Amino acid sequence: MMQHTKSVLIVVVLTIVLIACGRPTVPDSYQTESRPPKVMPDYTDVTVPANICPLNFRVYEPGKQVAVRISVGDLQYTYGDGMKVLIDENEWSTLLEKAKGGNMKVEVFVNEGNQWKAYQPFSIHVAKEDIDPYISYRLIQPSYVAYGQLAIAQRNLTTYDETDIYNNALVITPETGQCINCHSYQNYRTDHMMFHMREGLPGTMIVEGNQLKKVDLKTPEIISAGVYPAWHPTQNLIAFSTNLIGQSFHTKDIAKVEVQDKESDLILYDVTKDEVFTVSNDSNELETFPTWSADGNTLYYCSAHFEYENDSLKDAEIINDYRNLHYNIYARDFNQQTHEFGERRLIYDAASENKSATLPRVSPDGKYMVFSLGNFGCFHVWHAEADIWLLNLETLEAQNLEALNSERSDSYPSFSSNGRWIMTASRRDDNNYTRPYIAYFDAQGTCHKAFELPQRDPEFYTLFLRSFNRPEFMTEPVGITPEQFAAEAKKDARKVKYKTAPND
Amino acid sequence: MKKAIYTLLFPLAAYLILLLHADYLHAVAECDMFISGQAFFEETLRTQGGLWTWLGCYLTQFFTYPWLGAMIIVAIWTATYFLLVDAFRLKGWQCLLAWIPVFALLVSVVDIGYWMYYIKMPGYWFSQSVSFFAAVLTTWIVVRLIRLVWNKDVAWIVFIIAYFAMLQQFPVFYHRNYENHLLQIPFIVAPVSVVLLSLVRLIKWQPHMKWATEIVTFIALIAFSATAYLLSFRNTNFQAEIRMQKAIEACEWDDVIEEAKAAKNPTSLMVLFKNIALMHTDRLTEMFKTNNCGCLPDTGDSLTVRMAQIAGPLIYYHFGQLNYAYRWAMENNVQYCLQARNLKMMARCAIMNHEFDVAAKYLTILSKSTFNKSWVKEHEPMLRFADKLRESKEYSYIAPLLNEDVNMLDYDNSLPEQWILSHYADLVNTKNRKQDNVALCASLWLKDEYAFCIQFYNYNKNYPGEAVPELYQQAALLMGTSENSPINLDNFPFDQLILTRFDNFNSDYGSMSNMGIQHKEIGTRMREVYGDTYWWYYYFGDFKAY
Repeated sequence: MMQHTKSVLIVVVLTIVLIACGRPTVPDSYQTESRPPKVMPDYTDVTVPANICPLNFRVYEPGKQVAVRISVGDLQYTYGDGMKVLIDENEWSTLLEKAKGGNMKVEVFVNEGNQWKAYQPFSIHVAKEDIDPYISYRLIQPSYVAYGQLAIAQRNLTTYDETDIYNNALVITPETGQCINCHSYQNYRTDHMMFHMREGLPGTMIVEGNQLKKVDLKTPEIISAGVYPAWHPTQNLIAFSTNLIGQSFHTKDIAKVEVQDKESDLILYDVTKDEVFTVSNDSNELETFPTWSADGNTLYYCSAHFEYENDSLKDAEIINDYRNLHYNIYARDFNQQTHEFGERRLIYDAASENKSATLPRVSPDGKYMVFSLGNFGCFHVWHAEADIWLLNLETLEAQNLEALNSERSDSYPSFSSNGRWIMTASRRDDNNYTRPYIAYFDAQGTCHKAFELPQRDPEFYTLFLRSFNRPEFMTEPVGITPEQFAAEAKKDARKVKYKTAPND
Repeated sequence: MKKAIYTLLFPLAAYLILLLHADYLHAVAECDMFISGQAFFEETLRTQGGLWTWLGCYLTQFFTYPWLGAMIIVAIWTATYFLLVDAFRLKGWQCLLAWIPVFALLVSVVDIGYWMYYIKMPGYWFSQSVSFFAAVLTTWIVVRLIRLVWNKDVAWIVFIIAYFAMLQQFPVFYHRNYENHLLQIPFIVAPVSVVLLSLVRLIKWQPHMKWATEIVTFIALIAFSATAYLLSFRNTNFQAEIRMQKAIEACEWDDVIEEAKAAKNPTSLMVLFKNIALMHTDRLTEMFKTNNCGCLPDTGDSLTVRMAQIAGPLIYYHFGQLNYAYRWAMENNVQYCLQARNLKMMARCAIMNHEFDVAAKYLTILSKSTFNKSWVKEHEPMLRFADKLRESKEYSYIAPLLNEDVNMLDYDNSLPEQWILSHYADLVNTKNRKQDNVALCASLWLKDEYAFCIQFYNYNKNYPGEAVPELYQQAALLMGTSENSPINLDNFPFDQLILTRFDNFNSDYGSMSNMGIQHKEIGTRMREVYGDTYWWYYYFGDFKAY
């Protein structure tokens, strides 16, 4: 009798605790639905790393209350807060640890009033390989010409913590705004990193160890200051494109804007000596998006062939011909001792297929390249047809990474430092706001279904009015504080020297 | 009783002044945005003075009903007054001085005018008052505590120290995104007046006669009220533009036209609004019968106003240019504050463009504000049922302008009216009568003879045998019969009345010109008789693009 009373007491206490915690109970009776539930973000059958934060989601099915059971073997937890599934971080870690190399089973039950409905369970696969603990991105409204408050932020992938690397609110004044862009790291580390500032307090911010400097990369010999960067993986060198960029607007096409380079070249900046030299400036070529091979012996880049008929009508010509701008991917050998570049080699001929290849990135093992492939042009974040493609650098065979892609724009791909994860900036959610999606890329070269960067509130992406621009993997957080960057930003930029290329 | 009357006099006057600007206050609610939920709260808190901004955004919504918003803000000001009186133990005439910061805050709300489109501070209209109230309240609590436990005589010193310490938390007082220094005066007056209040207690003077205090107080309060009213932005075109925008949103076209007719010297934006109303009621050919000359807006200071920023999205939307409407709504949201009106425009464009996912996003966000739920409820079914979209009033007006087949890459140089007029004047392959009329009228508006001739030729080809509207005949007489005209109108059956009137116009013009009267003066004299003709607009009319 005493034992029975004790059991009842325990059940009562546990029930009270569970109610207090808001943990729902899975119903005993329910109707079954032969399809998986619609959940946002879509985490059905995705593959995640074992060090990712909880994949909170919201169920978009008719009903007001959800009960979700997540289980790995005999370990199971239930969640449900209205239609949201908010997973406890400690319990999630336990689930991940147990599911590493295997699967979690997710069962969703929805209360439609007096009736519960059970949807077909789905799996979350957990890979053996971890992901880099940090990513960074620029938070920017998907506007066209205007910009306001901008931040380059870093996100801890193992938690939901996000902090600013730099925020232009620290320096902007009523009179002067400041655009910040193109953050870039040397080999995933943050002790050698950079980003640009434009308009207000302009210059390129360079981090070398714990030293900061702001440089002005524009010299009379080049068409613009450095734009799209690529740190050499081992040397204190950054390859930049220099671009004269213009924007024009579609009257009907829902892409709305076309961003074009009227001119573009390539330069190399020696961070230690503060010198730049021209790598490529063919007047009939629009060279851009440099990126290095993992060993630093090859510089890859994109280039479109375009011949102007009349120099005074360049704007009109390139706008009228916007559908005929097709970028190929080229490579040039790089001598790390002499800094000489070899002749260019065609790596991927997109133009012959009436396509345009942009934003190439090479895997850390040097075997693969990922890039964005669209129908034309160089700014694929606005091109719904743009997809991520994989190029085998040994066979030069390319394939569409269908598991990673969507019907909408997928661009700006990058590999994690261990090469097992590919991240892309995707507009699949609503065709306007760019979100980071991450896919597992296994040792056999197969890409698995991508998952959206998890947020604490599953409705976050619906309510958030900024894009995640240029998502980049990092192995560590940035050590410089936003205030230190702001203090350096207020100083005058150091002019770099132009020198003749070693080849010339 | 008398004390109560004196205490209520200024709040009542402030309330009335606010209600005199009811249209403006309603527009203010549309030029701001509050989103309930943690994400908006956390993002707002990231900025300096974020809590006051968040509260300001929340309360600014209540200007959707100007009487309600005004009541709330006046209540905050009155509470501020009582706290100041109690904190400084003001008595008699001294109480009057506690109204000075309230007066400054009232002026800061009603002196903005066109700046309301350019403010980069979300919740501006309430955040100032709320943060000031919070500063006074906090320091009042400190003073109360000190009075309880410490030397009473130093309480006011502590008040001042605490007050300025609090002010450090409220950058809104010294960091305004304005180039206009006059607009900053209220924010200097408000905090400085509090310092003065602390000094007033040193003055021991009190009038011997009670009635003298009462008269001084009464006159001063009337003076405060009158000054606040005089400092408010009362430009009639500004107010008319706001009313016209509201009428356009409601598709109340006659109201739009009446506003334009009532204006003596309308802005170009008002003219554009009027023509949108005429266009949607198939009366575009009457555009020159009403005043079609638009001037630049009088902002009252150095502010240069751009039509793209005031109403670019609305204009583009009603001319069927959804991409450009969306673009400017986005740009304005980014450049200035997040505004409900821009979010609504982006949602509408997305719905019409069948971009339902992003439309759903905007509707969800709008549903999380207090007073936009009914708007969302009205538009949400359009995401799921195409019929609902086609049945909507707006769609019926705009749809005929949407069916252009050809996509163009272009740039508007931030001049929507110029771009729209050029775009339509040059439009080939028009699809319906509405497009034909817009194309013809755009060419006339621009005084583009070549474009008119081409459009006029197409019009006659598209509608053979139909009576040609008077406006087109007037324009054809002027433009189509010149030597350089690309069309031949020798056998065109002009109405005899129009021919006669044109002869009279030329004759009158020639006579006055021969008399040596200046061109501008001729225009003024001829306006009464010929002001409703295209000829008058062509020779004397002007339309300022901005």
